Amino acid sequence: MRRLVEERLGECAQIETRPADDQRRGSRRARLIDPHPCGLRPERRRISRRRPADAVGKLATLPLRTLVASIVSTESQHMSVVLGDLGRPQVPQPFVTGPPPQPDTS
Amino acid sequence: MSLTRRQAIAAVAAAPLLLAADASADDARHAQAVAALTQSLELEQTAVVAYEAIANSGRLGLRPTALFRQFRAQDGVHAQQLVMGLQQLGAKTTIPPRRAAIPGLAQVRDERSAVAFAVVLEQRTIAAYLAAVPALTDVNVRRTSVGAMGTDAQQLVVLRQLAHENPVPTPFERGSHR
Repeated sequence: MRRLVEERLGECAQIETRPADDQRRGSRRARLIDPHPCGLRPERRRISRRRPADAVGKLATLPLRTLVASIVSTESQHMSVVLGDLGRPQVPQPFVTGPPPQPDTS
Repeated sequence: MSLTRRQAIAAVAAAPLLLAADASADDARHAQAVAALTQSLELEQTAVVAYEAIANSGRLGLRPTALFRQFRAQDGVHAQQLVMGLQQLGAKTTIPPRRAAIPGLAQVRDERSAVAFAVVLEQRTIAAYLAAVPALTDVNVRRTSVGAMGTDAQQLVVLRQLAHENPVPTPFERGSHR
């Protein structure tokens, strides 16, 4: 995943994982470092601070949007396999990203 | 920085052309988003009709029947959201197909053929969502589409396990257009 995201963002992106933070937070979040003036700062911020599913909503780079969406799919599949091994429902909700926003009726 | 009179006149003259080009690009993006969402909706509606037919056929065991009912309900929610998304875009929505009009459904005679049918349908749906994601301009519709696609990918896992196949055969699930 890291290699592909770096390819998509070009030389502007170098991803460095933070093992200490990862362990502390129990997550696999990655941080993008070494900023260059390539106009990609918003994309870096979106990837680094949000879950991938949220990032897809915000990303402006079209190929990166597709890539992250396919990663979300595969991560959802991993979750489904693990849930099955735990004897829990494998497809627990209609949207892996949580309930969609309701239209404003006010 | 100051403009010469000639530059100012040229800028004013070019403004409508630039606005027209912008509007044309917006129209193209809008049409692309509508087409992509419509294709996803057609596939979700097909899944709803087909899974209901399969679950009610009495040809499946208890667990597969329950799974097809669950998938039918979830795909129904997806279809509802897509209808709302299309309505937001001011587009017409499609109506669900008749059972007889769904290719391959008539050939479903047992659990094995039902699972094989559903695997193909889910793969096509995932591919349609993935094609739609870049075209969608509304952040909420895009996020909802990715959420539905993730759930369809999970349904695919369950179906592959029922077929005794590798549930996650690729690091990037992209579905299939076959």
